[in-house]
Amino acid sequence: MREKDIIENLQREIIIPDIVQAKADQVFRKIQKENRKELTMRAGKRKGKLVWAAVAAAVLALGTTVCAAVYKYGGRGLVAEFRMTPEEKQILEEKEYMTPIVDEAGMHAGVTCQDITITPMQMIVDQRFAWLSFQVKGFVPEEGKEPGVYMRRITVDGDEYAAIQSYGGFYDGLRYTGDGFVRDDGEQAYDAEGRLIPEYVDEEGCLEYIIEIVGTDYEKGLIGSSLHVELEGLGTMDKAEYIPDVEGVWAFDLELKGSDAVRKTTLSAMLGDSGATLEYAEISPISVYVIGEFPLQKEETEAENGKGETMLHETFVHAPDFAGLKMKDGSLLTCIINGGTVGYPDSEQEVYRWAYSITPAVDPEEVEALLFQKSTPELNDRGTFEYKEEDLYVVPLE
Amino acid sequence: MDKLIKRALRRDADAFTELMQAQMQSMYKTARAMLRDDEDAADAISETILMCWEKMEQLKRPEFFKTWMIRILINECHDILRQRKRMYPVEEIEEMPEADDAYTNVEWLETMRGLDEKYRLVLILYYVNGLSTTQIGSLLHIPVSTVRTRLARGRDQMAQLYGVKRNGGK
Repeated sequence: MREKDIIENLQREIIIPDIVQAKADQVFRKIQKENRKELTMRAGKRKGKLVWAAVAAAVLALGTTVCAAVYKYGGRGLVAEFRMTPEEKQILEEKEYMTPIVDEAGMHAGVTCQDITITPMQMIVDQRFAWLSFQVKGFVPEEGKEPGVYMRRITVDGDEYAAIQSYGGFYDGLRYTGDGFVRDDGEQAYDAEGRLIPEYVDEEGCLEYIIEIVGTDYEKGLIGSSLHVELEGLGTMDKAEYIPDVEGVWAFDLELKGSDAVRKTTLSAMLGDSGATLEYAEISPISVYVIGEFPLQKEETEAENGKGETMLHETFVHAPDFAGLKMKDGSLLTCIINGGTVGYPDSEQEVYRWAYSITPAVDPEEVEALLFQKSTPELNDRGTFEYKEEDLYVVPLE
Repeated sequence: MDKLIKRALRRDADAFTELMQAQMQSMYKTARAMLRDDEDAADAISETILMCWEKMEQLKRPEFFKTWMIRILINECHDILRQRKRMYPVEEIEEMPEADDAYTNVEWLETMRGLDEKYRLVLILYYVNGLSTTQIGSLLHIPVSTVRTRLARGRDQMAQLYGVKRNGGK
C-alpha cells in the first residue's frame, strides 16, 4: 500500500455515530431557540452600568487625551503584519495607502475611560481591505496572559449591517519571517520546549490592537467610508474564553483614508484542465482581486458503513486556490495570503472570485504573474510547503 | 465556507449550524484520536459547538476558524480526560463496536487502535484537519521538529499495520 493510500484511509469519510450526532443536534436546537443575549451572558456577568467614552476623531470632546506628536513609525503590529521593510513602509506612505489617524490639528486623538486610553494610530487602506492600529495605554494583562476585547462593533456609513467583515486582536510581538518567528524586542521567540513566547506589551508599556476590515462585498468601496468603532471591555483570554477585567466602552468615529490605485489587468487564461478561467485582476500593494468563471460542479464520494453498504456523499468542487505572485525578478511569493474571500460572490454562481489581502506589501508594477495551485507541493526541511513552478498554474499579466 | 463563517459571525444560527455540521467529520476524528469512546467524543463535540457559538465574535480571522475550533475541541478533550483521571493507552481503546452498528467505520477505527496515541492525534490534525506542522506544534505545545518526527513515525506505523514496508511512498 502506498503512502497515498495510507493518507486516503485517514481521510476517508466515516459515518458519525448516532450518539455523537444526537448530542450535536441537541446543541444546534438550543442555539436556534435561544437568543444571543442569553448565551453570551455566560462570558461573565456585567456589573452595573457600562461606562462610556466617545469622541469623533475630528473633534476633541470631554475625556479625551491627546498625544504630543504624530506617531511616526506605524504601529509595530501593522509593520509586523505586513512584514514591512523600511523601504516598503515608505512606499505605502508615499502612495497614501498608509496614513496616520489624526484630528484636524494633526494630532492623534485618544479616548480615555477607566483611566485607560485607546488611541487610533495608523491605517492601511485600499478599496477592499483596511487595517487599523490602536494603541492601548493603561491596561497591562497579567504576565503570560493574552489580552482580549469583549466585544467589537463596527458600523460603516451608519449601517450596522453593511457588507463587511471585521476581525481584531492584540499584536503579540511575534513576526513571521518565512522561516519561523522572531520577537520584536529581540528576545527569544521560542522557549526550551519550542513554544512561542508572545510579548504583548511594547517598550512604552502599551498594547496594540489591530482591526482588519474585509470589504470585498462592499460595493461602494472602503475609501472615504465613515467608520464607527466601539470596543467594549478589556480582559484576558483563557482557552478562547474571555475573562473580563475592565468594563468600559471606547468609541471612535473615523474616516477610512487610503488609495484606490490598483494595477488592472484583463486576462483570458485557463487554469489547465481544472475548468477555471480568469478574466480580470486588480493588484494593489496590499491585496489581490481576481474574477473568473468556474462552472459549479459537485462530486460524489463513496464510503462504506459498518454493514458494507455504500453511501454517497455530495460535495462541491473548488477552483484551484490562489497561491501567490511571481515577480519580475523571478522570485515566487507564496504563503502571502492574509485573509479574504474565495468562491461565488452571489447566488447566481456564475462568477468566481478570489479576493485576498496579502503580506508582505508588493509593488504591483513588479508583479509578472499570478500563481494558482495545481498540486500540493512537497514539505521542506522546515515542515512547510515549498512551491515550485511545476506545482503552480502561472498566469502572466498582460 | 468563508460565506458561512461570515454569516455565522453575524449571529446567523442557520449558517453556524451548517458550518459546524460541515466540521463533524474532522471533529469526530480528532476527538476519537484523544478519547476512549463515542460517548466522551459526543460530550467534547457538543461542548465545542456551544463554545464556538458563544465565542464566535472573538475569532480574529475567518481563515483561522479551523485552527481556533480545533483548539477549543482539544481543550474540551483534555478536560474530559482530566475528569476521567486516566489516559487511554493504545491497548485500552474500546473494542470495536458491533458490526451491525450502522454508524461506524470499522476499518478506520481499527487503524486508530493500531497507532500509538502520540502519533494518532498528529496524523489526524495533519491529514484530516489540514493543519500545518507549525499550527500543530502551537496547538499541542510541542516543537515543530517533534511534530514532523511523529508524522513520519506515524506513517511508518500505519504502513506496518498494512504489512507494507515504506519505500519512498511509491
